This record gives sequence, C-alpha cells and structure tokens, in this order.
Amino acid sequence: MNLMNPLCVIFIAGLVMTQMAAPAAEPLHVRIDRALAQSQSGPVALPSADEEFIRRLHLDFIGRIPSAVEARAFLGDNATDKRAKVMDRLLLSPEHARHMSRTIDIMWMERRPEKHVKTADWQAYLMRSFSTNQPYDKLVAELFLADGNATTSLLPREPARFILDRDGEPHLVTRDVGRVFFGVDFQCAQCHDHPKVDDYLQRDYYGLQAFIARTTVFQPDPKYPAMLAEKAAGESRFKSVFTKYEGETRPRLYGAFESAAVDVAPGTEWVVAPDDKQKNLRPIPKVSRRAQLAAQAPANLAFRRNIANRLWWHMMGRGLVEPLDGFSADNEPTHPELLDLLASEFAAMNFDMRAFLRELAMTQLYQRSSRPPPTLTLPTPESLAALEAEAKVLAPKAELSEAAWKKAVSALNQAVTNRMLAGAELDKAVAAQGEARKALDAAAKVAADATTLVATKQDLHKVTAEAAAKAKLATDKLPADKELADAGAKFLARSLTLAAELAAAQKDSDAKTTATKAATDRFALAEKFANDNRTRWNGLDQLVLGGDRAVQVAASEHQTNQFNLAKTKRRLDDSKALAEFVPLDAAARAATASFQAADKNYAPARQSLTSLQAAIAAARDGMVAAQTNRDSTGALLLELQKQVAAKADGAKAVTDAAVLAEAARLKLPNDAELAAAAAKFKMRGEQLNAELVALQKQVPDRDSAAKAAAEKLAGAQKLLAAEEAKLPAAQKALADIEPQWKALQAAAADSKAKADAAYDRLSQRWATSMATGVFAHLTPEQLCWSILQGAGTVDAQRVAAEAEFNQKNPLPAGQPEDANRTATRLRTVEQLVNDRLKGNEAVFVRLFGGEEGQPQVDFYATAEQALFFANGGTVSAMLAPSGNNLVARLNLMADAKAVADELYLTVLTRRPVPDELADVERQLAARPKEQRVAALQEMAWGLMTSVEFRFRH
Amino acid sequence: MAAGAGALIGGLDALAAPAAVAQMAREQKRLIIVRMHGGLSQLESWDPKPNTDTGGPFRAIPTSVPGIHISELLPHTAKQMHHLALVRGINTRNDDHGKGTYMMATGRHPVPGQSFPELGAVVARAMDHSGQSLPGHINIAAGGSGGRNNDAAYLGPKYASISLGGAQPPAYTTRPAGVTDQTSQSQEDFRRRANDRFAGHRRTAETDAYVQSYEQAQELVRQREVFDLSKEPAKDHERYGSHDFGKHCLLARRLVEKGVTCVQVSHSNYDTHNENFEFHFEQLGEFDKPFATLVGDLADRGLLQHTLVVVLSEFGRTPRINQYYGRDHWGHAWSVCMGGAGLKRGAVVGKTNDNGTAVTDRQVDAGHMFHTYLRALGVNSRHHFSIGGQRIPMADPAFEAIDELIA
Repeated sequence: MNLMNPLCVIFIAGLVMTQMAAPAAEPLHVRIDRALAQSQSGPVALPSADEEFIRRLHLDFIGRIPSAVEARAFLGDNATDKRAKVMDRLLLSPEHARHMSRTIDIMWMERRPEKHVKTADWQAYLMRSFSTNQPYDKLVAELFLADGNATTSLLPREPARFILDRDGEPHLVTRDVGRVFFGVDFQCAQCHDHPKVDDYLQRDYYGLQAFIARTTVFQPDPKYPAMLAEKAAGESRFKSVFTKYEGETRPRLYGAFESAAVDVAPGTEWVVAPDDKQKNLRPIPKVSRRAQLAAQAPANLAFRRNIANRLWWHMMGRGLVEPLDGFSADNEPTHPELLDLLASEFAAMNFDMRAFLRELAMTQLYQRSSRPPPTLTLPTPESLAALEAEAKVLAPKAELSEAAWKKAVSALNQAVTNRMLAGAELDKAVAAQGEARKALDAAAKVAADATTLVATKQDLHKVTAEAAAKAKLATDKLPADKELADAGAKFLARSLTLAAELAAAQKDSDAKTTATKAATDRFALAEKFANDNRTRWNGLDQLVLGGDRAVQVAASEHQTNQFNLAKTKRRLDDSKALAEFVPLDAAARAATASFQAADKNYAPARQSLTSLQAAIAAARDGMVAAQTNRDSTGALLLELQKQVAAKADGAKAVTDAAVLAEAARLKLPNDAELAAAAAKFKMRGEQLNAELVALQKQVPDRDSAAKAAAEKLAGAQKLLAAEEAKLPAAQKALADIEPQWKALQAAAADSKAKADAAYDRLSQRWATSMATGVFAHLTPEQLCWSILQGAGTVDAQRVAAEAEFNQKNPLPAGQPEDANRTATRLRTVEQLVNDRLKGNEAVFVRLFGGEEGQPQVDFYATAEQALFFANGGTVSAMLAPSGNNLVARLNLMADAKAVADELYLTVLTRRPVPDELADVERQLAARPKEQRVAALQEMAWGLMTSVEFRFRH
Repeated sequence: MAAGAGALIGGLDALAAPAAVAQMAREQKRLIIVRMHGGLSQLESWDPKPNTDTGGPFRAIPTSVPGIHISELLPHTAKQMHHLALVRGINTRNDDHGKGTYMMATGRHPVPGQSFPELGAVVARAMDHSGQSLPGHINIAAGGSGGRNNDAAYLGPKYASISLGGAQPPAYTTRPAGVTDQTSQSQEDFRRRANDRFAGHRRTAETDAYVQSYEQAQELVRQREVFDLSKEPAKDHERYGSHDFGKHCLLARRLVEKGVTCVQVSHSNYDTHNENFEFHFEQLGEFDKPFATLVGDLADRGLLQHTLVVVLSEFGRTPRINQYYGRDHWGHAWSVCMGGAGLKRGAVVGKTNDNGTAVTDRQVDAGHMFHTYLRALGVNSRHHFSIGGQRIPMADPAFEAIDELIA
C-alpha cells in the first residue's frame, strides 16, 4: 500500500511557493508599522525617549540593563542613526549570543532538569550556534535529526536533548513539539477532537505523533550515554474516546497534508537492521520519520507563525497570539495580517534571527513609549457605526465558513474511514492473491511432476515394447524354446502393464494440467481482485488527500473570516473603550471641578466654624481657668478670715486673762512669781494682738484678689456665652451648604472611580492593540543579570577578565589591536564573566520562574521573592562597597546631585527628576556621616526592588 | 494575558472591612493532608478482616461510632471515629508508588506529556482570598532546607507548597545581622516612594501584585512566630509526643489555627514487603495518638467544622500475606480515612468482601476522592480554572464527588 503520491508533493510545493513572497523593496520594519497603523483605531503613544529605548534594547538584545557608562555614551551621542548603530553593536556582541542561547534554551526545554545530555554541553552548543548566527530552521532541523551519537552522526549529540531529556516519551514529545514549534497545544486532542478548540483534531495530534512515535531512547547499557533509535515501521491509528470514531494517518503537520507514502521494498527497510543477538546494536531505518519532520517543518505555515510570534513576544513583551501555544481559529491573533507578514518574511530572510530581531527593533512600535498617549479624542459616532456595520457583515460569514469547515472535516473523516476499510479489503485481497499464487505454484509443480512421469513411463514403455517385439521375433523363429517363449511373454506382459501405466499417467497428467489451468485462472482472478482493490484504495487515498485539502481550504477560509471579524471587533472595542473613557474622564474632571468650586464656599464656612469652635474652646478654657482662679482666691480669703477669727479669739482670751492677772498682782504686790506670770500674760496678749493686726492687714488684699477673680470669671463666662451664641449661625451656614458639598464630593469620587476603571480597560486595550510600547516583566535571568550589572558586579568581573586575557595574550607595546584579537578578547571576556556569575541565576530562576516543563512566560509575584531581596543576603552583599562598584562609586561622590545622577542612571537608566533629587538629598542629610554607606545601600536597594526596575518598558 | 492570574488576586483588600476579613478568616476552609508514605495497609487500619485467611494477627475493635470497627492498632483514633468518615471501596487499579502518589495527589490518571497540580495547590488557589498574608500551601518536612516545591503545575509558584525544612519557619523571614528597624524602614520607604512615582505613569495588575508582594513579605516577617512551635504550651508538646510526627501534627494544628489554607504532614514508611505486622504495629503506634489528639483538638476548638483532615496513601497492601510475612502493593481494594469540614461524621462508604480481596459496594477511584475533598471544602468541583485564556477543570471531569459523604 506504500505508494508515492504525486498530487501531495504538488500541493506542498504549491504551499511553499505561495509562502515565499518576493523580497520587498521596503524594509520589513516599515511594512510592520504600516500593517499596524492600518489596524489601529485610536491615539498612539509618543516615541520613546532615548533613556527608555536604550534600557529596553539592552534587556531585549543582551539580557541586562546598560551600565551607566554605556547609557551616558548613548545619551551623549548626537548622531541621528545612533539607535541603529547601537543595535548593530549589541547584535554582534557575545552577550547577544548568550542571551539568545538562554532564551531559546528556555523556549525549548522550559527549564526541564538535566537527564541524558549535560546542561553545560547543551548550553555550549547553543552558544556556538548563536555565535555564528545559525538560521532558526537549521537549528530546529538539527534538533529533530540528531540521534545523540556524535561519533557516527554528522551532527553533535547535544541537539538530541529535546527528545532525550523528555525520555523520548512519544506523547510528551508530540505535545511539546506541537506547542514549542507549531504554537498549538493539542493536549486534549490526544484522546478525542479538542472539546474547546474546534480546529484541533485528534487527526492533527496523531499526524504529528506519526513523526515521533517510531523514535525511542536507546540505552542498552546505562554505563553509556543514551541515544535515539528509530523503528522502520508503525503507523498512527487512533480512536476517539467520545465518538468512538477510528482513524489513521500518515505523518502530517498541522494544517498540511499527509506525507507521501514512501515505498520501501520489503527486506530493505534498514540501514542497520535490529539483531536480537546484538542488543548493543542500534537499529537505523532507511526512512527516518524524524528526518521527514525536519524536512517538512520549515515550509509549514504554523511553524513559521509560531516562531514569528515567539520572537515578537521576546521583543514586544506580548504575543500576537497568546498563549504562545494557543494558535487556533477560536483564539485569533490580535493582528493576523501582521503575523502572516512576519511569518513569511522571517522565512524569506532565511530564518536569520539576528536580522529579524533588528527589524523588530527598528519599528516605530518597538521604539514607542510605554506611557499612555498624550491626547485623546473621542471617536466619531460615524466611525463606530461603520465598525459595527462591518462586524455585522463579517459575523455571518464566519458562521457560514465554520459550517463549511465542519462539513469538510466530517467528509474527511468519512474518507479516512473508507480508506481504512478499503485498506483492510486490500490486505485481504493481497493475501488471497498470495494464497492463489501458492495454489497455482503447487498445482503447476504437481502437473510438471505428472508430465515427467508420463515421459518416464513413455520411455520405459518404448524400451520394453521394443524388447517385447524383438523377443516375439526371436520366439517366432524358435517356437520350441520354451524358456525363450516364457521370457518373451514376460517382456510382452511388462510392456502391456507399462502401456497401461503410461495411459494412466497420461490421464493423470492431463487431469493435472487441467487443474493447473484452473489454478491459473483462479490466480488471475485473485490478482485482478487485488489490483482492483489497490486501484480502489488508491482512489480512496486520493479522496483522503483531497479531503485534507478541502479541510485546509475551508479551515483557512474560516480562519481568515474569523480573524477579520476579530480584527474589526478589536478595533470596535478599542474605539468603544476610548468612547467610554473620554466622556467619563470629562465627567470626572467636571465633577472634580464642581466639587472644587463648591469647596471654595464650603471651605471658608468650614474654616469659620472651625475657628469659632476653636474660639469657644479657648473661651471655655479661659472660663475654666478663671473659675479655678476664683475658687482658689476665694478659698485663700476664707482661710485668712478663719485665721483672723481664731487669732482674735486667742488674743481676746489672753488679754482678758492678763487684765485679771494684773488685778490679782495689784492685790498681792509682793508675790514676785505672780508678778512675773501677770507680766507674761500681758506680754503674750500684746504679742497676739500684734499678730492679729498683721493678719487683719492681709485681709483687704485677699479680699480684692477674690473680687478680681470673680470679676474675671464673670468676664470669661460672658465671653464664652457670646462665642457660643455665634455657634448656631455658623453651624447653620455650614449645614446649609454641606449636603451639597458632600454630594459633590461623593459624585466626584464616584465619577473618578468610574473613569479610573474605564482607564484601566482602555490602557489594557492600548497594550493589546499596541498603541503603547512594550510593558512586560523581566525574566528571572534578565532580573538577575540586571541586578548584577546595576550593583557593579558584572563590571568588576569584566575588568578582571580583561586583565586576565591581556596577561595571557599580551599586546606588544604600541601595536594596535586587530579585529581578530578584539573578537577573541570580547568572546573570552564574556565567557569568563558568564562562567563566574551564572551561578547567581539559580536562585532567581527558582523564585521568579515557572515550574519545570511549564510555559515560562507568566508573571509571578510572591512574598518569598520580596523576602529574598530583603533578607536573602545576596542583594545586600552585592551592595556592599567594594572596588569600583555602585555603592563604592557613590560613596566617593560628595555632592548629593552627583550621587543621585549616578544612582538613577546606573539602576534605572535615566536621570532623576527634581523630586527624586530632593529625596536623595534628604536621605543623605538625614544620616550621620558614619551611616552614609547604609543610606546609599538603602537607596540602591529601594530602586532595584522598585516596579520600574522589575519591568521592561 | 491572564498571566499568573493568582498573583493578581492578592492585593485588593484595602477596602474590605476588618470585621468582615476577620469573619472570613475564621470561617475560611482549611485542609490537613496526612500522607502515609509507602502504602498503608487497609487491613491493619481502616478495614480489618480478623479471623480470615488474609486478616493477619490483629483484632478489630469497636469505635465511638456503633457498628464501625477498626484495627486494634488505632485505639485512640477509634475514640475519635464520630468525627471521621471512612471510604472502604477505593480501587485505583494501580500498584506503582509513583503513579499511585500522583493519582491520589492530583485526582487524575497520569497522562503522558501533561502535569496537573496537586490537591494542596488546587485548594490553596481555590481558597485564595484578599487579606491573606501567610502562604496558602505548606508542607511540613522532616528535614531538608525548605523552600518551594514543584507541585502547582499550571497554577504557578504562588500555590506551590513551601516546605518548612525541619519544621523551621519559611526561608528569609529573619533579617540579616546589622539590618536595623531604621535601615529596613528607610529602604522600604524609599522603594514605596519610587513605586508611587512610577504608578503615576504606568500601573497594571502585574505591577500592583509586585508592590503587594513586598507588603505581604513584611507581614510574614511580623507573623514569623506563626511557625514557631515553641510557642505552643509544654502540655501540648507532651500530648502530641516528642517524635517528629507528633511535633508535625502539633505544628499543623498551629498553622491551620493561624489561617494557613493547606498543611501537609507525612508519616514514613509503610512499604512493608517484609514483616508487615511488626512494622504496622510500630508505625501506627506512633501515628495513632498524635493523629487522634489533632482531630480531638480541632473538634474542641471549633476548627474541625472548617477543616478537612485526610489520611491518604498511594495505595493499600495485598490481602495475601507473602512468604516474608509481608504484604505487597495493592491498589484494588483499599481505604482512606477523612473527616471534618463539609463531610458527614461517623460515616462509612464502600465495602470489600469478607477477606478484602475485592470491592463489593460503591467502588471509587482517585478522581472521586479528589472531587469529594473539594466538595467537602465547599468548592464546586465542577468549576474551572482560567489559565492563560484556557479553561481547565479543577478536577478530572470524568469523575464526581461521593455525594452521600457530603453533609
């Protein structure tokens, strides 16, 4: 059944012809921008500033931010073509080869752990390939062709890693080949037609699997490296677990036809045939399915779209199709015509990645700012209506083409079923033909044997008959000789038996000849039947190939319709988002303005109430103080009055006693003791009276103080009452305008929230429609190398590596360095720096990367990452002053402005704005001299962990 | 792009009322998985068959639920049976450690070329809510240096388990020497100001998530003592026991109490090809008390109604006793014990024949179990995750939950 199919070859050739567009006079980047402009419906961002551009370009071309020196050189360059010049310089640098080998490694291996091929060898292989700018299609071909045996194969062992380190698991390899090289994830199509993606058929999956399924990992002895072996036979048959539909397919790429059946004569299938007795012998088939894959892939549209999309994603931070492995009619590219332009042009430039990346970098889109467009104008109702009308025309078209496509798929399925059934019939007919042949051969042999027997018998009969005739002559002459007569009779008898035998043999021979004829007829019939079946199968095979073509045509038409519809919808949605935002924004501004106007009245009223309340509070405080004062002065007066009364009481008693004592002394004049006592009484009385007078003297003062305090209190109370009397009016004044003010405030907040939400939607649409420039996160590796660069670690290693190189390869004094030495020096230095610093990548990959074997494109923000930056020690160690690194350099700068300039240029590739300069000045001024280094480290850390550093923009 | 959609959920809690957050935190569903490595014998645990050719030497004892008997090797657990439920009709048709572990962890049969997230990651993602500052998925490991594991597949690293190596707190939660409060504050403030300035021009869900991750980190440092087992009373240390498994159960209690969504604990090793009975006697002797104490404590503290506890293994062990008094790998008729959250208490679903060689009633596979865990946690297991624009079912759509176990 293995027949060459000329039609199929023509189709594939035709496909290639249409893909290979004639080289355009205009550079690709101009055509990209034009295609983009045609599908854009709103405002676009301004061109990027030099600072934005140079940071972005370094990250995308060499995987790290530029150094301050590199940035200054570029910013200070006044040449008009400086952007193109720096692109060329970077593309030719060993760092670009390194960055691309990392990028492709992640794209292909998705951070799978090392299994059969050493990671270091694999990376060195990629580095060699990118240093010499190997074309993409050649790299992929090597990947499929390599069998891991570098000694017998023309290819190195490393590219076999793609299959080897997936353990050659056919389903895993099939799925990943589909995802990584054709941009389609057939995940579910393994067991049935994809339930969610209409154009992923089980047939697509098994068509791809047919290229892979014969390959196995060959490692009879684990002591020796594993290689790939391939079987010479085995077809891909499948059965849907849902519909129970059974199908079969020869190798077939997504969106293409079944490969031509290859006719290999039985017994010639092997270059090295398997041998049960030699288990260390690796079988090699004559026809390699992997080689067919390598040969067919580059012409396949899905293959070209996939790599164009992935490289676009690499540069623009967003795929035209996302997810990158989700290309289908149901998940339309944002810009299908652009994707097809990129796919065909990348192929037309012979899959030259450097040249292609350069074209992407040259586009206005790439060089567009990531900040929002500065001015927004409302789309006209007419333009919206036109887009609505366009969508209304396109939608039913897409529905019709979908139905047509589904019909073609079921016709194809039926054709495959018919071919399978016919294949079974053909197999039976061929077997029957074989049986008939065997029967004919057997009959012919028997007939030939019988003919031989007849001849033998004829010969014998002839001899005996002749002998008998001669004997008869003899016996006739000697009739008396009895012995002779007996002998003659014997001859005669023998001759007669032989005659009978001959007759029998002749009869048998005739019968057998007749049987042979019948067998010949039967064989002829069987042969005809087999041939008829073969013809029928061929016809049905043509129908399958025709069905494939019909499906492809229908699918392609459906895709086109679907894509056109999607494009119109996208433009419509862009316009709608803008139309939604502009009035909401205006409303928000108006609401804010009304609120601010109301606030102009409200604020003074609020202010006067507040002042009044303050005045009341102050008056109340004054009154309380006055009250306290009155109470204390009153208490003092009372206390004094009490003392006066007590003193007067005592003085009176003593004075009274003194009078009586004097009277007594006068009656007893000679009593000296009595005289002394009376004198004492008198003296004491006088003393007390004097004290009383002194106390009484204080009373007026205290009395007046108390009176003054009471007056003050009255004053304070009056003041408070007066202020409090003003309160209702002030409160009313405010209350009159407050509800309106509050309503306006709420309205402004609400309006702003709505405008913000609309803005979020609009800015997402801008990003999708590429009205704004690249905004994406750094990969773990970009983040790692940018931190190493920013901190000054890379430069320190580079200086050391340069010195090492120059020491080993001294340049005679006065002799200029030639181009060869420069190239070698740059390569060696890059290699040394990479060797010494790449160990830092692991922790970044672990913390910031996706899981092993999963797509490595998503963004993850975890607390663990932040904790690593803060407490992991790695970043703070890089920020310890050393040599000429960032913090050491900053520490030598006395002037805060110089510090700010160097810090921002080194870490964020731009100069600080005044606000930031002031911030740096404050930070430095706030800390004593001995904490200056700490302050510098804190600022460097703060910038390296900022959003601005974490993203590409 | 729905890039790392999970990362986008974290930072939107600014407006949530504190009371509502507290309420949510209290009622948040939690999950404790106890992994019995190597393959626990159902006959020496949840489905004993004493006095039969396959039963082995141990008796069956009554439990706190009349009619349910389990092996006499689990006397403490028997007293907690009214909190628990048994599934005795598991048939995973698989006797391989790797495949069995994968199936029980993901609820799916292995499909070449595809990987699915494990239960803990699925639950951490499904339960993710604002105001959560602790990691959602923790694996308490006996040793090792800790760090993130690869068990979240397409759900992304945010939901991958973080191992607490040697039951120590997560990595990088202590400040390096020489970094003072002032230094830390000053650098964080400088970073915040830089971010505020940048946000004036460009802000996306990704930048928000990045900014938020630093605030979460600060919170984690503040809450570091959540992971500090020494903060639990000495009395409890005594009740749980001084061996690793006891400590890990106590830490699991502490973590779910503090609001961690999913905690995994392991007990090793049940792969008893030789001397099955001696090994189970020893191993279950260590397992029984701390596990029963954990279940009892969760119930006493009102946590069990929000916490699902599952004791699972990669498979059971053969009813046939081999010549080394061992039992071999057996995925054709075995049991899982679980309890809490939305499960019926004291229930038994599924049955094996008299000597345990076949399931005779309500046979279930790993996929049914996975759906059941999710349903018990109040998650509609028929829902999908939206991953990079693709809808992927949370649980294998070929299976469904064991309805009669859901309360």
